Amino acid sequence: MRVLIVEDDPRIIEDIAASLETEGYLVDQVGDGEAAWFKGSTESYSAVILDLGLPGMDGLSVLNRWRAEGLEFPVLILTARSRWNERVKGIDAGADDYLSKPFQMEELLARLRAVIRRSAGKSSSQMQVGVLTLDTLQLRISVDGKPVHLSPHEYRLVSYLMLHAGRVVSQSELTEQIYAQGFERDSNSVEVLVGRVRRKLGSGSIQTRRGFGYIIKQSEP
Amino acid sequence: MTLQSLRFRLLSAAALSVSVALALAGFGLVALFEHHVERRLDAELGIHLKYLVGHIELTDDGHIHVAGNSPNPSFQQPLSGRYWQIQDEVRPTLLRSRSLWDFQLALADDDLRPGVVHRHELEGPAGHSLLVREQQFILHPRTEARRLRVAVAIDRADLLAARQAFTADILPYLGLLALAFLVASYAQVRMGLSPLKRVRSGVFAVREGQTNRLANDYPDEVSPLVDEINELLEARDKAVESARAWTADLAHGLNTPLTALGADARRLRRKGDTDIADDLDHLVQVMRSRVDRELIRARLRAAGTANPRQTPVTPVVDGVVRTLQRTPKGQLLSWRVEIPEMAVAAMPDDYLAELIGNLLENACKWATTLVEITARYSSESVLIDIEDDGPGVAEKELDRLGQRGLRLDEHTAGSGLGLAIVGDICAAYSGGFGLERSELGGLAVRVRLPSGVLSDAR
Repeated sequence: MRVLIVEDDPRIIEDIAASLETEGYLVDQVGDGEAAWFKGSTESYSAVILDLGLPGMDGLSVLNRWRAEGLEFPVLILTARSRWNERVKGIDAGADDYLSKPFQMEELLARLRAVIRRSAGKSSSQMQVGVLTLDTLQLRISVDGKPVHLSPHEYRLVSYLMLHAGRVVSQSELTEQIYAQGFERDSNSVEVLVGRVRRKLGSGSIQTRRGFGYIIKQSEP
Repeated sequence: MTLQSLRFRLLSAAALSVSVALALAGFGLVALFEHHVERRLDAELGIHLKYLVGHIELTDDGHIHVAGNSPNPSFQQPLSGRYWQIQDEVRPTLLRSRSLWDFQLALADDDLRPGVVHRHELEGPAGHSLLVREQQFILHPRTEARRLRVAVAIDRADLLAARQAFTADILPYLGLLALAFLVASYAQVRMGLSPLKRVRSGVFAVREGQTNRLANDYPDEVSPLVDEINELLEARDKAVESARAWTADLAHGLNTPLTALGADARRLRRKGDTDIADDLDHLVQVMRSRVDRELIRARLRAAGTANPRQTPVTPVVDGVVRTLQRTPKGQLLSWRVEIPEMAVAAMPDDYLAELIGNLLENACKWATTLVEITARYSSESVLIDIEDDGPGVAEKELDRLGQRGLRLDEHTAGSGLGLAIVGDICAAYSGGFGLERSELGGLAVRVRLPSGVLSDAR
């Protein structure tokens, strides 16, 4: 999958490019608005990561021109201006998502996957990681298409790990996400919960990184 | 209306001048009337005098007497107020009207030439003051040349009574006139001061955000004041705009190097220095939240709340929800929005977006399946509830949340300053927010903002 990165700071563009290439994407880079518009108009991309503060033509104008020309590839806006009305303006100008700087690379990768998946027309209430399918409308997890009965705590655990697939999530982070904040809880309650889920979803579904936490592995892009 | 009020001063001055003018007019009119009556009485005396003279005859023994009675019966009634007296200086004789009774007019012994009229004011019977017309006649000038001093008198009480009656008649009219003048002055003052009232309501409209500037259709005298106010507003808008531009540049200037720092952290991680990389990542996130909050605070300070603007809540919430629905987590959630169209908050749209954005981003982060946004409004306030079905917060922790920089989740992105920003914005616009457990299971944030009214003048 080919992705265009439009960003004028060389350190940031290299960082994103390196991470994307590690994830298996083909990456094109440009540093100014005019060149970005030209590349986007003449070549075919699965997605574009677009910085708003560009020399020459600014990012929003580039986006407006692409959309006016009928180009529909997904665009993820990246900007140092983090105000909410600017974010809304970006989305309304035809962007598919908006991420403010500084960002975490996992977040960028997750957002990129999401915009590509959405542009491919996949249902937004379902997501697939490996053999697991998360249906957020029916609050259901399926393995190879077969629904599995989970308790609310188990559902929260699996859905959180699936939403952060590919990243090691620490035990304490999971505790915060699953149980009400400030509630007294047993130190090994997550461990017990993970054990129960593994019995239902298969032992390889959730992997343990000893000393770090748990991970559900991301399927290849 | 106080002593300091312009209207009070103008009306007092008008009342004073109207009273003085009408008092002068009243005195003048009474004096004129008195003069007129006096002339009329004098004319009447002249007629009586001529009648009297025409009826003086000599008796056989050479004494004078008045033939017949005067057609005016007053001369026959004692102390009636109308009198005559004839004095013969050659053969001393004194004739008097019956009305004089036993009183004799004390005519001055002055030099009286025939035909010349003398006018006196003398004391009459019962101490009344009389108006007297006196003339000398010569009877039978060719034979005996009898010099007669003939006097006719009228009681001045008639004159005084007429003057009193006239004064009593004219007073209500003068009062009515005073009232008419005062009403006219009030209308004049009101009309004259109405542009100032319009300036005041114009400034109020600017403060309420219904308009940007005062209109330019004021009278010449008020126009310079309006121009000054407009220039002041212009200067303030420029200051706010430059603060806005400055914070935007600062955001760009701070966040870009922070992103580069994040890139450095990842390079370190790839080289195996994971501890330093984690530290740097954490610092970057903390710095970012601090920068966001401080920039908002700087903008709030620069803009103040003098010009709050009116922002309908629905489009702002819709925009934020639309944006969050694009995020990987947001697109998996159900978003339930129930906000009445008429809900309008008295604050600029960018701050409302910042407030709603921070709260909904939190809700999106924690929700399991559902985020619910509902609003109610009254003439004073708009109440916005944001709830999620996430894990929620224990009662004892609710109060601690929302304090400066505090966060209970040390692992999810963000440093907890989102609620602090919400607090800053609420405080700047006289609103507030509270945290509760939601019936959906998660956290409920209840925000109260001052209500605004959309005007057509926008």
